[in-house]
Amino acid sequence: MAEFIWNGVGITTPDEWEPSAIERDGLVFENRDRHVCEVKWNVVQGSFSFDKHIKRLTKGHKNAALSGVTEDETPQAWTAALNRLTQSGIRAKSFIWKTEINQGIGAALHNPATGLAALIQFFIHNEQDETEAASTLASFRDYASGKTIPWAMFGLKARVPAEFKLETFSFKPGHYTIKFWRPKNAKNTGRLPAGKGPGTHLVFERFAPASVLLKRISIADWARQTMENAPPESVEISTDANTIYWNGTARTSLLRRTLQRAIYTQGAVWVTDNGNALLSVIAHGTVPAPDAIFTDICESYELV
Amino acid sequence: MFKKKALLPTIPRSQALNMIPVRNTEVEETPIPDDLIRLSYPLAIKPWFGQLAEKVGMWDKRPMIKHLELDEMGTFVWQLIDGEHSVRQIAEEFTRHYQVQPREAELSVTAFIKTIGQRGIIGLKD
Repeated sequence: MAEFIWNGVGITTPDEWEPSAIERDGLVFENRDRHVCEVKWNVVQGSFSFDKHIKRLTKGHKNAALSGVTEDETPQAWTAALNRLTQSGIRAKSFIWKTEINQGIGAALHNPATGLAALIQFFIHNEQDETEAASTLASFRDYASGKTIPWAMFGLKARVPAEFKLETFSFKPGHYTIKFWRPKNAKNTGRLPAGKGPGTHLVFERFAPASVLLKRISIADWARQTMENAPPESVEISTDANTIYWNGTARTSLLRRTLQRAIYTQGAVWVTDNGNALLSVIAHGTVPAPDAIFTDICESYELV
Repeated sequence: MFKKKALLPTIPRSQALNMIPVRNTEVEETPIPDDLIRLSYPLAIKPWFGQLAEKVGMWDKRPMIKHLELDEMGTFVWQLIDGEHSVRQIAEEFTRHYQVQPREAELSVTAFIKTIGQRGIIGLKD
């Protein structure tokens, strides 16, 4: 089974499923060129009405015969999965839909404790799909509460302090990047676009294969020459076995210091013991990340 | 002038991965330092360009040869293009050798095969 945790939502899927579309608030999974699962989510303020959401879905998909499901129509495994979610505090309402080509089963989910509202649906092609859908639904988790929020995607996992919000991400062959942003003033969360104003960027990267990238170059030189957020020459890099670290001021001047706009940078890049990859965590911005928090973040970042 | 381009037929991903890349017999490979390879391949010239180049004395009708130096990963893939390994098998070997994610290897290998295919260095067979 493969675990995916993304922007506060987690599900565990069969190994053969792979994400074919990743959004800030949604995931689509494929198996053998076929869509198998879609999850969308959002945080809603105040009350949440399942009926309203099902109605909205019905309006948006007039070609699909969409309807709520009564208990006796629901597959047993699906009911068991819903019960498990209910025990963990997540309310759910199931629906089924059918078009000329496809059919599926899904559920609208709501966690009153955090306000998370999610829509999860599975494309059903055969009986096995029903079982896999139920086990995947049962694995649905809301990670939005807590001091640190985990994420896990494409063989990587880490934990970030809850104040950091997902900013951007890209998964290109050989180079994965996941960026988080924490504004200096928590009140600005959601008001200003992510990355604007004073705050801290937190960048996770994975480069591979390390054996090729570091063939004729030291890890410190490679980092300076290649990485987008590499430390400037003025910041010293310390090397310890397969790891490099830095911590310093990337840009400063009298004016910047006066306006509290000096740019701090702190980073660690290391070669993994297994997996032939280079992992890096960089925190940069006008607010330095405390050493202890940065160390915890680095320690949590690993290949799965 | 603004004629709509005909859409190229597309094949499903699984079918494309089962195809077998085959080397163009006219491609020559030369070993270069660091166990890498340089490929020399005849350049496919459009007939109208050939005629024009010939008229203005720029071309003596001998095939133009282009060179392509492969990096370590390109060399690894090239060595697996033997008319027997399918694209999928090459991607699997790539995953094992470089310990990257399977989908990542698949994308890298298919992009490489597409690039050298467009240059006429390889063809694909079912």
